[in-house]
Amino acid sequence: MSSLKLSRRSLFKLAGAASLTACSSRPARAILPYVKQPPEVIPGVPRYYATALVEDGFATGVIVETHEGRPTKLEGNPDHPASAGGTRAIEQAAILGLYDPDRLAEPTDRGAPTTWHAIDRALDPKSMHVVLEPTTSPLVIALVGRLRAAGVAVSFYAPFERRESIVGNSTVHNRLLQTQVDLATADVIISLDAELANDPRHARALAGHRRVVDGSSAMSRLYVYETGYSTTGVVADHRWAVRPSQLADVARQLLRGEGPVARDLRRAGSRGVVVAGERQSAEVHALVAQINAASACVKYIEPVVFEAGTASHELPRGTDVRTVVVVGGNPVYASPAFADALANVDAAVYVGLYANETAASCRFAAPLAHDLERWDAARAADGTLGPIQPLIEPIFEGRSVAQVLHAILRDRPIDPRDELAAAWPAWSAMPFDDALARGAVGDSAAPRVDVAPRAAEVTSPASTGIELAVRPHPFVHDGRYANNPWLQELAEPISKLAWDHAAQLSPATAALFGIATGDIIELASGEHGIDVPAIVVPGHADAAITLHAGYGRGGAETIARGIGANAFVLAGATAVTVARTDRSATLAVTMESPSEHGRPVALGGTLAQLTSGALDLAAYRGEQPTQLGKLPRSGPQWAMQIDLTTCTGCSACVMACAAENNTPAIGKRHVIEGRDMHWIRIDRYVDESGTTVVEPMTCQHCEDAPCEYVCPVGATTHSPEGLNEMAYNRCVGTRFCSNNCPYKVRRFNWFDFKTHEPLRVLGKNPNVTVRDRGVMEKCTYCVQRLRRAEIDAAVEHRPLVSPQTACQQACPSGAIAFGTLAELAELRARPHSYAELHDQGTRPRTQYLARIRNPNPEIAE
Amino acid sequence: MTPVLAAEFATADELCAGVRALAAAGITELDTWTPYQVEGLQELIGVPRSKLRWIVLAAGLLGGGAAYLLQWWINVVDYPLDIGGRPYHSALAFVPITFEMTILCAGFAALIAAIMLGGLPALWQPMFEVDGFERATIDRFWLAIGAGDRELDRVRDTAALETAGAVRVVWLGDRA
Amino acid sequence: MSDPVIIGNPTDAALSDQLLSTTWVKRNWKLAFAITGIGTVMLFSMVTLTVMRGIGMWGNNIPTAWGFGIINFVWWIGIGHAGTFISAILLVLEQQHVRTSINRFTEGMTLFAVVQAGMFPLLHLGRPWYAYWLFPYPSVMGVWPQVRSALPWDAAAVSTYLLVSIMFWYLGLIPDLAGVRDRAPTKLRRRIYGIFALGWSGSMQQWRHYKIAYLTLAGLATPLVVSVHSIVSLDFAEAGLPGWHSTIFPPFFVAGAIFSGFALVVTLIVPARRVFNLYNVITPRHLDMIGKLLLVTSSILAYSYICELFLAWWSGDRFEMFEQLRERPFGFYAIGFWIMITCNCLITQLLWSRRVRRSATALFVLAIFINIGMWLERFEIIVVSLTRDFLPSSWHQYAPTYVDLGILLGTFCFFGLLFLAFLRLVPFVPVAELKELEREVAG
Repeated sequence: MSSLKLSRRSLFKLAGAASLTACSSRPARAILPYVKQPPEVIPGVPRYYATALVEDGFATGVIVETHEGRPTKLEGNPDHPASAGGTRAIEQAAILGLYDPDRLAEPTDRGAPTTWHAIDRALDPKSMHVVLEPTTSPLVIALVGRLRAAGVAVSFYAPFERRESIVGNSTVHNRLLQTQVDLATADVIISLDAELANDPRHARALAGHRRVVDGSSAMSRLYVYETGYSTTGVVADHRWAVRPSQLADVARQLLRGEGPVARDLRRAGSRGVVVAGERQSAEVHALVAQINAASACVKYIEPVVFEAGTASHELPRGTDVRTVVVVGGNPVYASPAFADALANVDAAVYVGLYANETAASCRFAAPLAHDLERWDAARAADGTLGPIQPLIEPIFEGRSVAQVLHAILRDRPIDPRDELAAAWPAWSAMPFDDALARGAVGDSAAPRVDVAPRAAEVTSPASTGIELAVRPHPFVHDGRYANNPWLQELAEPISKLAWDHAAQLSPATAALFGIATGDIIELASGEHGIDVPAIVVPGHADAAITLHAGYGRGGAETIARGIGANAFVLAGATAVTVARTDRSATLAVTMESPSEHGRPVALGGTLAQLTSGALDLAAYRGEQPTQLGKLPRSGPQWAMQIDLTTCTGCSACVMACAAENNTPAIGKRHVIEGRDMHWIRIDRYVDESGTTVVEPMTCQHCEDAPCEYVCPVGATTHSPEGLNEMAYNRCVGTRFCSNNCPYKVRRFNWFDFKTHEPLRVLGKNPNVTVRDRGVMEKCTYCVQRLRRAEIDAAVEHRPLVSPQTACQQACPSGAIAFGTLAELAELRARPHSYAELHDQGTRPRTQYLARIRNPNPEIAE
Repeated sequence: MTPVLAAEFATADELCAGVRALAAAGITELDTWTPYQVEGLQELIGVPRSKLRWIVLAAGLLGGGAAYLLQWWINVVDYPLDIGGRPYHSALAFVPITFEMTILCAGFAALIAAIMLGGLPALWQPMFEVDGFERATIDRFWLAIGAGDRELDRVRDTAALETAGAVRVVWLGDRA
Repeated sequence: MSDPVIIGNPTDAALSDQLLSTTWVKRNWKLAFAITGIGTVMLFSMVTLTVMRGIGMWGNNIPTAWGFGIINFVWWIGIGHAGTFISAILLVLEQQHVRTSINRFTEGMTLFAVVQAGMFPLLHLGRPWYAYWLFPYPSVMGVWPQVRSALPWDAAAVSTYLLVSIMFWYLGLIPDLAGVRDRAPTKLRRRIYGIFALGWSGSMQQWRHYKIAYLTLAGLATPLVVSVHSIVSLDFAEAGLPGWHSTIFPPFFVAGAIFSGFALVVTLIVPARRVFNLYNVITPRHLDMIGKLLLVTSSILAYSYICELFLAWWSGDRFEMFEQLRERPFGFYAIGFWIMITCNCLITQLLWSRRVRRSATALFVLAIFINIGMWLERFEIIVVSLTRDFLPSSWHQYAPTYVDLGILLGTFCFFGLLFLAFLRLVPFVPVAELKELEREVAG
């Protein structure tokens, strides 16, 4: 029988081969294999390189996965202190920023194509002002020195750089110092509007001290005072919504030692710490520096960013220069008045990633190299030095910052790698090649500066009316990532707003003005005003509005353009007037119902309940009575455990999943219609008191999966390893599986959602099928990683080591555990472990650890 | 049957009288043509009950059995798949298709058997050559004696049919 | 009961002339054909759009992965049930008195309703061109349909239903096609109808097998008609979704199907009776019978609605209670629920009145409301259940698009077009059976 099959197959093969030339509709084009195989490239086997991404000068170390020379995925570098292995959503989405067809592709002169050579000739070092982004690169710092020596003025600008804390410290410590907080050892943490959860370093440290094994576990206590609801507020044990102006009062109270929170802080002694947010005023930071005098969790270092806190970090206002060169950033957008300064010079040059507002205000615009395309070095927030190496030749004609500065200095062209290698020994004792391999120089963190704080009386201005807090958007930041469709489509963790810009306000404030979500309101301060839709966020401070920056973009970027309003117009204002207009907008809010409706969904309790045994979720896990027999399962039995105590809802996992599994961004209209394609959904529930809990929801890989038995073609089946698998090619798209999924974690390709943009295609993971129109898809537990691990183990004749899923690897808090049932047995047996919708009898392989809070018994709930 | 002596009646009752008269004369090779089924006529001629239902029953059982067997074979033998932990031989789930296939095969058998056993399709039949026979589907009732009947007596039977009330008696024997 | 089912004492020839002549007498139907034709063109434009661009042209989303498509499918297939119910079940129950005049008509309605219904399961697929994967055929991939799902059952049931309905309809039609062959004025008509009549001559040899086959087919269609909507209901009841997961569904769906089917019979037969002047064969007694059946099925439905609510409460299941006791009567789509109750259970109470049952106009108006009510019932079951399932985080509203509405409207027109063609081309009252009935009544 088999020989018959073979012979028939061979016949068809021969017939096919014979007719191939005749049938082909396209002319045959020869392709050539490598003449000399590069020793490091094995087709199909990815290579990993360490480098760093830079934001406002600070480096985040990443490991880049490349396939045949194409970077496809970024992971956090465990050896780099800013990452410790985790990332934010922004780093995960950076790959899409690299392959962005909207990037500045070539130098232009008033919009017409020109050459770098022409721009170089126009660069006159006499009477020139260079505006850079804040930098920590020793390479650039050296060049800045040379430029200044040549008479070129250099300043640094970023709208959200960390400067208030440095200025505030100077009030107390008499010198410019950067605060360095280590939360790993803190027992009591008080956040004054600090974005701890959005910083992988803090998130990891915070989570490390909040992992609950059982009632006897030690757990830190986190108090959060904040205006808007942040991911830090989500993990708080106590959270109070306060107006921005009240934070100084809170700090004063803590300094005086009044109230239960201050008493708790004092009891913690050196293991207590207060962290003020980077957007807080220098006055608040000065108060915090005094409160933290006894804390062992805080150290002070020399500012890592070059000249941080000094006058050089202001935009040039004067018109005494003839040439202005802006390298990176988008100052015209963030500071609209800067456009006037540019208008008055002879030649303005913008070197940046996009044809943005600043490019439009400059005569010349030229492409800057992406972080993944250039050689450089940068320091992490703690001062740790690391190299930046390119993973790909510049896709466009981009130059690095150093190359631009070299051109101004009329230096002879130098190979950037040689330049960095030559300069390296002056910065670090670690050999350059070792540093490239590791991505960070160990023990290169900035040394502690011993300080003797003095009491300083600080005053803060009283505020009246509706206060305004302009904040960087958690994903779009100051607008620099606004052209990244993945980040646009990623719902803001609390308001669940995607693709849109809205002013956040509390239900009481909204009721006061008669505003509902979607109503367009006019915010005005003095002569400036913007119209923006409102979104009601339970838990937001009353009489205050949070407005994210990064929207209202007016550049030529097709995706960023035209969404929302520019919050920087109101950035100087602390109070605004609010007026309702009669217009409204449909907002792409991905979650309709904020309430759990009394259902036992995202379970939780307190550490005290766990200790006393009052909280035992045994009824929510374990076997259920069933009529079904058990089919044989073999091999490693994969399972996942998600810890809701440490999950902040930061959404890095969602983005990591999108990057790993080639899920598309589909646009605002489809998000409104309920068709988002993320394989992970961060469920958000708000209770009556406005407290928000989050719960990552993805395919639960049910052992008795309800989706499987309703598929008419057997496209979704169970693997012997317990995975709920999708055969995309077999799916006809009845969508019955989704209807019968109690978790609604299946995603459907309603249209041909996959990208056809040639540049974007380069970023796809070649190990994951790109799904076609009309098929269902969902979380696979990163089956491609499981198979790779199994194959590697088999090839190397060693026991299987459980691989990491993409979401697990990205999670800065380490809230996601993945492995075999045996490996997770201890986690699954914990008293607060539970299965979602346990009573449905689906026997999910993914389970949760309930959200455990550690409230202060002195404070009534 | 090749009709040789045909008679046209205006009513079903007269037709029945004609049939009775012929039966009395010992005629056995006999057929009738009516616009609708006349109750009692079949017993009068002495035609046995149709065997069609047994064909239908056999086809139905065959279809249903094959459907169940196929479902069992693909789920247990040929390509067993772990479908949400459900047993390979999920007998209850196989019932609906088994039932539907029983009905479908039986239905096909009924239609095809009715057509084939009735001698159809036959777009030409000898009786169509008789003038006025087209009213057999509207309001006239016909009978005819076959050429093979040994008891056929043209004169006697013509008289008997006319006595029974035949509107017209036609001799077709010369045509053949 | 003494009411006549045939008024007057028409001769066989008169009946033939009256009822067969519809196939050759010219009528001025250009406007009706134009309207339904344009609607049909619109339907197929919308279908083309859906197939070319993707199923996203419809309003479906996650969680509401089934929307208008499946609502329309269930509604149309339900309507299809009355035809077979009248033809088959009443024949098996020996109720020819009330059945004979209208059975061909309702069989035609069944066929064309099933044609409309059958389009939706195909169209609603993400990849409709692979719909044949639901049928077992020896594939090069070596894979087979997954028969634990209700959808292959559905595919088997609907295709069996369509085929058996066609067979039943055609078998019943053969003697009348022969009648047209022998009566039609032009040669071309005689030829064409003659071919379809297969040479039927009405001989004893033909009749004796024919009658048994016809009765047997009716006997087969009787459980079939019950099974089809039962299986359609399992498309929902098989799932664990609150609002779907219910053992009452099969009988509940069958009653609803017959209810809606009779309503459409009224919607079609009242105008046809007027246009073709069929007052002698479609008599107040027929209307009265349909009115009573509507009342009975309406009562079964009302009982089922109450059962659903009661069982939701009795189960103590929080998801089921939320769905049935809160979301349907008081939720976002509550207006649909109350219109449904009004149309299906309240206004049908008028049918207790004999005058209403015998008034063609009153029945017609009632039937329109019932059609609306039954469509809304499927909307409530499908959309409300899907938009509000277990995890509130996945709740999302559903709204149809212009393509959804265009396709729904288009199927009305396509149905109308097919039905007009049927009235024009096929003897739509079974003449041979009517003659037999008349002889029986007279004798």
